[in-house]
Amino acid sequence: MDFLFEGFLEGLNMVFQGNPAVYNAAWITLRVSFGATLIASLIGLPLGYFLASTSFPGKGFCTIVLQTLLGFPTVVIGLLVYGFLSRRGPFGFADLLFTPSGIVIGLVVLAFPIVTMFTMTAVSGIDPRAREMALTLGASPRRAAWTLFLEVRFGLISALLASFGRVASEVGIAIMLGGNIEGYTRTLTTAIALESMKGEFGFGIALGLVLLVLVFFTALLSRYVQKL
Amino acid sequence: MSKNSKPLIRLEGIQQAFQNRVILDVNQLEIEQGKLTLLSGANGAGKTSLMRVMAGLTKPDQGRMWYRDEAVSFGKQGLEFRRKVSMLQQEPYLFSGSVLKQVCYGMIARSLTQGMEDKALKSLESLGCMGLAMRHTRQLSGGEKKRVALANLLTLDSEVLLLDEPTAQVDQESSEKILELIQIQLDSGKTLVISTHQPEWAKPLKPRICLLEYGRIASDTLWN
Repeated sequence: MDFLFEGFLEGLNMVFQGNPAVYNAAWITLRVSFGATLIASLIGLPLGYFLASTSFPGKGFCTIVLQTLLGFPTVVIGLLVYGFLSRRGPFGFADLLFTPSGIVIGLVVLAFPIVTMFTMTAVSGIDPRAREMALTLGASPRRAAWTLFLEVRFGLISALLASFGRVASEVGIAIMLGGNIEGYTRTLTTAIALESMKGEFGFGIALGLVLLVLVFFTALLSRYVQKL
Repeated sequence: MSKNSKPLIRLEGIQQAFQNRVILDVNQLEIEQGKLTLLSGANGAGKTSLMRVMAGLTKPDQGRMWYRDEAVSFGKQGLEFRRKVSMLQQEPYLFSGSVLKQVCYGMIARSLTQGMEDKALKSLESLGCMGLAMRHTRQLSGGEKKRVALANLLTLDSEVLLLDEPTAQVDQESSEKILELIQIQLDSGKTLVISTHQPEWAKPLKPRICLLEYGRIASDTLWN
């Protein structure tokens, strides 16, 4: 048990002394997580609204596909995106493999079903009279949609925060598409995996603490928004 | 309807079904400009469904509607029509935020923002709810919500007001205010269509009464 305690103390020391490797990994994690959440929200928010507010043949199938994507193992997502981005793949020419952009693409695939499903649930819960009220007051369909978004804004912000927390703590995609290159694509989770395997337990704990703080504040923010 | 006047709204062959049950089957209905038309009937007779069609909110399964002899479009193309006809919901939904913001919504949607707040306050005052302006819409009672929603419609200068059970579930004071306002709207030449299953209150206004039964217009008479 001593190694756990010593590792924890060493980790705390590294965090408070501002170890550059720890903070570099944290910075890369923040960058790719923000990027992926932003792109996922650009896809997931309108898609979720569309699925919740319209009726068309195959809507049930689309929902099942999204639910399947929610439970998709991240290594499989990493593998599929790897196939697309590798030199032999259709997007090999773009040289995105083992770059932060490559990680972002994989994380978007992970995050957009989360944002879409949360949005769908939030918009489905809107009182149907809200849209009628907007339309009868002379709002265009686009403005009415925006009004409904504002009505469920707290649910949507929660969706984005949940998605951010998920991508920040993801490891499979980041390793497969980023390659764990120090100072370039090494995120907190991939660094933890690597350092633990090397026996650098204290370093792993330090990285874990930063990640924990990051995810904790995301959850705290999400809770605060839900209470508003 | 008098023989010389042209109808403002004309509906023909309107049919609407819900879960394989016909809820609306209106062969013909004409709404005269500047007059009060009451849609009466029991609960579930089709009053609200008919009003939704007339407000351009629901596209009927069959049939057509004209406004000043122009065919009415629904959906995206129906925006121009929806800005001429406004509907008060039976249980109005008010957006999250202050009452003042709610009353300004229609003016913002129409980009009529000049003097918007003054107009909104004046409208609230006419319904005796000036004191509610800064309250959150979630804090209002049913009657207050109805008055605020009506104040909302008054800021819009719509040519036609469709009021779904405007005096239902409101207290005596709110009811009197609403009736007073209906009279003012009629005096100013507005066209009003009001749904109610207790039409007695409107007797002094000498309205036309369309009685709906099972989605059909069973009788259409003038109440003199």
